[in-house]
Amino acid sequence: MGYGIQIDNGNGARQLDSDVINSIAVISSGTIATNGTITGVNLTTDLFFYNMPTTGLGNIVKSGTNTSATLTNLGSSVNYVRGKLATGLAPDSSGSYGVEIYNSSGQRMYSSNYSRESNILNIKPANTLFLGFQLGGGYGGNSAGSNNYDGNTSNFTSWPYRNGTSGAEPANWSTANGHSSYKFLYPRLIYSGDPEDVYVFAPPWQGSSSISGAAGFRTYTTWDYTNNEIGFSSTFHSSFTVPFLGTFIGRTAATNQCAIILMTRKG
Amino acid sequence: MTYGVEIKNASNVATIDVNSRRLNIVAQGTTSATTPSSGSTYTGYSPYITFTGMTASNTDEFDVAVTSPGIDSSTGSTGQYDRVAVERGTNQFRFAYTSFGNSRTLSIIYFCFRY
Repeated sequence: MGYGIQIDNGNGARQLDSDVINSIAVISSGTIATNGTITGVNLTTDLFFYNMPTTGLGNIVKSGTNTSATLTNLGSSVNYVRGKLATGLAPDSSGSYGVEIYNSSGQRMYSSNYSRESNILNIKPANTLFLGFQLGGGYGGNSAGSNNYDGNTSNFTSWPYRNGTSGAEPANWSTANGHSSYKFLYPRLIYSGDPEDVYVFAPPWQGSSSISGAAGFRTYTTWDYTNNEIGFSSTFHSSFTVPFLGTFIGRTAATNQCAIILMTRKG
Repeated sequence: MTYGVEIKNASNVATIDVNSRRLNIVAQGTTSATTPSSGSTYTGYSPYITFTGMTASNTDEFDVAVTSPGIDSSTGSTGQYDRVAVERGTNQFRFAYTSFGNSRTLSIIYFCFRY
């Protein structure tokens, strides 16, 4: 760093840095009701985080194009925070004093006149959550044969939080999407603590709102306000089998294919 | 507060304090990977995406988020078998794209961040 500003927090994590090319500004927040949508999301600039305020499954699916996507909430009502690349954004509050940081291209990428910020709680790095194998019919499961994750037998005791048990189907995942053909892989713990005010960016690996046939695969999150835990996993259609286990080990031995980001709002 | 930086918004609420962690974007864009036309494993790679600081193991400092595929890659008859993995190196990373089919190209929108 020849000039500019770098600020680290008390644990040495970088907070502000004029050497990076950009940062994420929080541009909006709100609630999406069941089957509600957000339109016009640009996946090349936007990061979308959501929080479920009650116990249940979180599932946001996408349709449209990469530059004008529609996000549809198939679970119960969620709170969301929408982040966006900061360069080119005008601050959402006015002021004639404070701090602004520009990158080497002269683009503003931080302003103290942003009224809201994201505070990162944790990152689950890419390819670090083993979700389980799926080998033919029935539910998917952990090859180790346990019905829980991380050795905690109290976790996610209600279907489908816990693999292989029966119970109520998730709301709004039913008839139109062929729920009887779903297979769920084990959710993996991504956060311990009160889920309230925790927002998750999860790999959006399946864009189809329908989970049927060969294209049927999507990720979901589990929110447990009894045990204060958040999990992540995936589900797919029962027509899926394992033709080349070992070679095509991605969705047959499913994992998180990019970082999962957990954050809270500031401001 | 005995050290560090605290920034408050117009409502006098701290948006950054000494414990905050933020997403600082060090690389961002769209890349693609194409599976080979022949072979026993259909895995193709994106070009390396370079920036200073990443190592194979420092996931507590640098990582990669992806916002797509998800729309464009899942519609094919073999889409469910596709996967992407992040392969980390020193000052660079790339995506490995494995598919059921050969000669398939996947477009990937990525955000690499320091936090």
